[in-house]
Amino acid sequence: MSWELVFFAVFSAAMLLTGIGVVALENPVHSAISLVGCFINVAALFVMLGAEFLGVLQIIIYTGAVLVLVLFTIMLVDPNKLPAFYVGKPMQRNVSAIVGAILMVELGVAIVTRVALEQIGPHTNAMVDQMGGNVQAIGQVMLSEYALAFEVASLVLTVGVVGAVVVGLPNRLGALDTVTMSLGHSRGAEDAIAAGPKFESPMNIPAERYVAPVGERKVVMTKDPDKYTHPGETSK
Amino acid sequence: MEPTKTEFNVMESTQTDYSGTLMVEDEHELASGERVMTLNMGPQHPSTHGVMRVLLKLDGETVIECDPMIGYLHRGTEKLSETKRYAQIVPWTDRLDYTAAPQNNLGYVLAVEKLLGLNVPERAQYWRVIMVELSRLASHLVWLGTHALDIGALSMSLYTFREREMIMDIFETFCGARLTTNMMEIGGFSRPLPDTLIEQIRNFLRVFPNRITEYTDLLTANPIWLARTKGVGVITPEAATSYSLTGACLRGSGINYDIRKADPYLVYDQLDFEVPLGQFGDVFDRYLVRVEEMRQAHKIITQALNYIEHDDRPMMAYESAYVMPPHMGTMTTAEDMQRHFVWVIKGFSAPIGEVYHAIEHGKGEFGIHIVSDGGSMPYRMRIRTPDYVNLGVLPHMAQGAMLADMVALIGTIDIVLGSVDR
Amino acid sequence: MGDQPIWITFIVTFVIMIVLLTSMAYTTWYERKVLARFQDRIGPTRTGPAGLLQPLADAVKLMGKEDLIPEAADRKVFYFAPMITFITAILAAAVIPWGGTIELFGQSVNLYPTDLNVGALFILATGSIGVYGIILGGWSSGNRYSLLGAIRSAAQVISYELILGFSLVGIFIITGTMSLKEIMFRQHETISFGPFEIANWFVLSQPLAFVLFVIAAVAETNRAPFDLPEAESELVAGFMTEYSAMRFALYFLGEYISMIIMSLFASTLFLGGTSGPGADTYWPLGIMWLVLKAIAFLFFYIWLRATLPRFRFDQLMGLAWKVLLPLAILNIALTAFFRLIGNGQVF
Repeated sequence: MSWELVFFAVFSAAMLLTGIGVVALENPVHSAISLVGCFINVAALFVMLGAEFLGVLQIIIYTGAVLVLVLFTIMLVDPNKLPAFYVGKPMQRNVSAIVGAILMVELGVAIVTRVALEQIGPHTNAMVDQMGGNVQAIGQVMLSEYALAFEVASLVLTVGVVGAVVVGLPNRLGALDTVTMSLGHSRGAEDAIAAGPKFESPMNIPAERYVAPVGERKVVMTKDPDKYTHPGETSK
Repeated sequence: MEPTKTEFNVMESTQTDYSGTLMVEDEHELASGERVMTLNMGPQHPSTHGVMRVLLKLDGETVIECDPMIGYLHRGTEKLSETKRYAQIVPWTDRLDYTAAPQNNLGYVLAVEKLLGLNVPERAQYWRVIMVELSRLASHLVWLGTHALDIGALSMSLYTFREREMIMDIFETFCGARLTTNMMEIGGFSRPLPDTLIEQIRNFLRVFPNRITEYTDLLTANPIWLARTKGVGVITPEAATSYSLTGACLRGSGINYDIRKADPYLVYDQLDFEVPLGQFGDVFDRYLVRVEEMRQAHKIITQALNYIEHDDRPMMAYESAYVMPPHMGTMTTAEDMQRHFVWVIKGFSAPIGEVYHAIEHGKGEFGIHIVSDGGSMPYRMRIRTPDYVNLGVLPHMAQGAMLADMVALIGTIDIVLGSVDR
Repeated sequence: MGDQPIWITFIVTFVIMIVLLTSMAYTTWYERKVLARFQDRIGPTRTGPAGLLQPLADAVKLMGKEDLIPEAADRKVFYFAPMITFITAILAAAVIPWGGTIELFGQSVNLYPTDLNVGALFILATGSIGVYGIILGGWSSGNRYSLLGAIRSAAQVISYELILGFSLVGIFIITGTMSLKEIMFRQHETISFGPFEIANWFVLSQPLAFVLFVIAAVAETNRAPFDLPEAESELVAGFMTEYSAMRFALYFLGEYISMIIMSLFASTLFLGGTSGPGADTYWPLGIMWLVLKAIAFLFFYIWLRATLPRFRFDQLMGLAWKVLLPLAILNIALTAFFRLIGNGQVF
C-alpha cells in the first residue's frame, strides 16, 4: 500500500465525514465549520492529483471568501429562532431528496462512462505539461475555449454585486422592503442590560449630516470677550 | 441679611426630565423592520475614562441611540462639605477632577474668599495664576494623551505624560504633593517658595513649546487623525449654547466665552493672552482649540513668572480671623500660636450669605456655590463641574456616529469621572 | 532543484520550526524594545540582560494563568478556534525559501521545506483559513464585543486579501511563475542600468505593487493602524476579549508568526529574498540577508504601530475598495502592457 493511497483514504474519509456533518449538525455555525473542513479536504485531494493551483484556489475562494460570508450571515442569526430541525415542509424535503439523488446519479454515470469508455478528454497530463503547468493550462483553456462561459460567469457575478449594492442601500433608492441584519448574539448579555429611560434629544438632528470642510483648518484667535459671542460669527 | 436656611432649589437630576417611556427591549423589532443590538459600553471599559457606562443601540456599527449613565464614582462631596470647616474642604476638591487639582482648589478658595471679602496680595495672585495654568497644561496633556490613545495613536500618551511629569515635579516642589495637591489656601500662600521652584518652571517653559510642536507634527499632519476627527461629533453653535456647554467644547463651536476674559478673576485682566475659537465644532476643532490653549497657557505662565520672579512681598492676606497665621509666627509668638490653635480646631465663622464663583477650569466653567448660615461650615455647597454638564451633549453627538467614533466623542468632551460624579 | 531523502526535509522543516518559534518569541521582545524606544522608555530590563528572558517570563505567566471559558461560550468552537490561527500561521512557513540547494556533510540539502509551484498563493490560502480562528473565536465567546471584532475581521480580511493577491499578479506576469523559489532566484540576477549593475529586485520594477502589498500585509495581519478586530479602545480586545491563559497566547503567537511570515514573504517577493553581497557563494550570508530584510520589515510594522492612529471601519473599507483596489488593477494592467511590449506583441 503506497503512501498516496493512505493519504487519499484519510482525506476522502475526512471529506465524507465533514460532508455528512454539514447536514447532520444542528447548529448552523457548526455545519459551516464542517463545510470548511470538507473544502479543505477537497483541496487536499486536488493537490494529490497534481492540481495544486486548483487546490489553492479552492481554499482561497471557497474557504477564504465564500464561506466566510456564509458564516458571517449565519453568525448573526439567532439559533433559537430557527425553525425546528427536520420539520421543514414535506414538499421541500421530498424535492431536495429527489434532486440530491438525481445529482448523485449524474455524477455516477459520468464517472462510470469515463471509466467504461476509457475516454479521458483532451486535457491530459501530457498536454498540461506541454502548456507549461496547471496555471498556464487553465488560463489558456478558460480564455480561449471557454471564453464565452467565462464572460457570462463574470456578467452574472457583476449582476450579483450590483444587486447586493441595491439591496444594501435602501435609504437612497426609496423605500425598499428590506430588513437589516441583526447583530444580536444568541447567548449574549441580554439579562445584564437593564431597561433604562429612553433618550430624547432636545435638538433636531438635520437630515443631511454635517460634512466637514476639507483643507487647512485654523482656529480664530481673539482677545476681546465681546466678539464672536453669537453662533455663526466664526464660521465665515 | 437673614440666613437663607430654607427654600433654595437643590439642583438634582430627576427622572421627570425623561420622556418616561422605557427603552425598547433588545432584539425588539422597530417600526421600520430594523433590528438593533444593544451594547453595554462600560462601566469597565478601557475608553470610557473611568467608570462611565454608555448604553448603545447599534444598527451594524452605526449608533442610533446613546445613553450615558453616570454615578459609579459618586462620593457625595457636596454633602460631605456640609460637615467640614471651610479650610477642610480644600482637600476634598482635589478629588473632583483629579487631573487638575489646583484648579479645583482655586475655584473653591476664590468662592470662600468672595464670601469672606478677603483681599489676596498680588504676589499670591500671580503665583496662583502660574500654578493654575500649569495645572491646565497638565489637564490638557492628560486629555491629549488619552484622546489620541482612544483614536489609536499609541505613543502620544507617553509623550504627553513625559511633559506632565515635569509639571507634577513642579507641584511636588511647590507643595509636596503631585496629584492631589491641596495647594491653594484661603487667603493666599502661607509658606515661602522653595528655592528651586523658579528654575524648574523656567526649565519646563524652555522645553514645552518644542514638545507642543512635536505633538502637532504627529497628529495635525496625520491623514488618519484628520479622517478620524474632521466632521465627527459636530456640535453646532446653537446646540452648544442650548446644552450650556463651556470650555473647549463651547469654544470649539465658535462661541467666545472664556471666564478669564468675560469675568476676569485673579490677575487675568493684566495678562496678555488670546482665546482660540473653532469654526466648525467638530472633534478636530476642539483638538485645535485645546492645543492652542496650551500655547496660550505657556504664554501666560511666562508673563506671570517674568512679573513676579524677583518679588518678595507677602503671600498671605492679613485678616487675622480668616487666614492661617504665618508658619514662623506660630512657632515663635504666643498670639499666633493661639490663633493657629483656634483656626485649626474651631475654624472661623463666615459671614452669612450666598456666593457663587466660577473659574475657567481646563474643562470649562467650574463654579462653587456656597450658602453660609454664619457657622464655620457651609450650610450648603453646590459644585458645578464642567464635564458633568458637557457630558450631556454626548447623545446629541453620537446619533449616526460609528461605534469607533464613540470613543473619540467621549474623549473630545474631556471628562473625568471624579468630576462628573462628584 | 536537488532531490533529497525525505529525512533531510524533515530535519530542515524541524529546524525552521524551532527557529520560527524562537524568533516569534523574540519578536515580542523586539517589539517591546523598539516600541519603548519610540516612546521614550527603555522596555524590559529586569528579566535577564536587556530583558532577553522576557519572552520566557511571559510564557510562564501565560501558562500559569487560569484558562477561563465563559458560560455563554460555545465550548468546542471556543476551544479550537485559537489553534486554527496558530497552526495556519506556522503552515505558511512551508513555502518560504531560505536559499537554494547546498552541499552539507556530503548530502545535498534543499534550504526550503517545499517548492510548491503555487507557493505565493499557498501563503494567501493559509491566511484565508487563519481568519476562521478569529471569526469563530469571536463568535463562540458569547460576547458582543467579540462578535463585533469577528465581523470586522471577516470583512477586513476578505477585502485586504484581494489586494494582497492582486498586488502579486504583477510579479507573476513578470516571472511567469508562482513558485517563491523561482521568483526569488529571478531577483538574484542583475540588470545593467547604464554603467551600473543593480540587483533585479522587484521593488524596483513593481514599486506600486510593493506599496500595495505592504499596506495589505499590515491589514492582513491585523496590525496597527488596521487592528480593528482587536481595537482595544472601542472593542476592549475584540475577538479575544474572553480569551485567557494559553489560548490567548495562541492568538498572540499566531499574530506574531503571521508578522514574521509576511515580512519574510515581502522580502522574498520584492526585496530579493536571500539576494545580497556574497549570498551566491556562501549560503549563510544569504540567510542573513533574508533575516535582516525581515527584521527591517518588522521594524516597519512596529514603527507604524508607534506612530499612526487607528482607522475607522468605514474608512478602512473605503481605502480598500475605492483606493487600493483600483490601484492594484491599474498595476496589473500596466505590467501586462509592458510585458506585451517587451515581448514585441504590441507596436
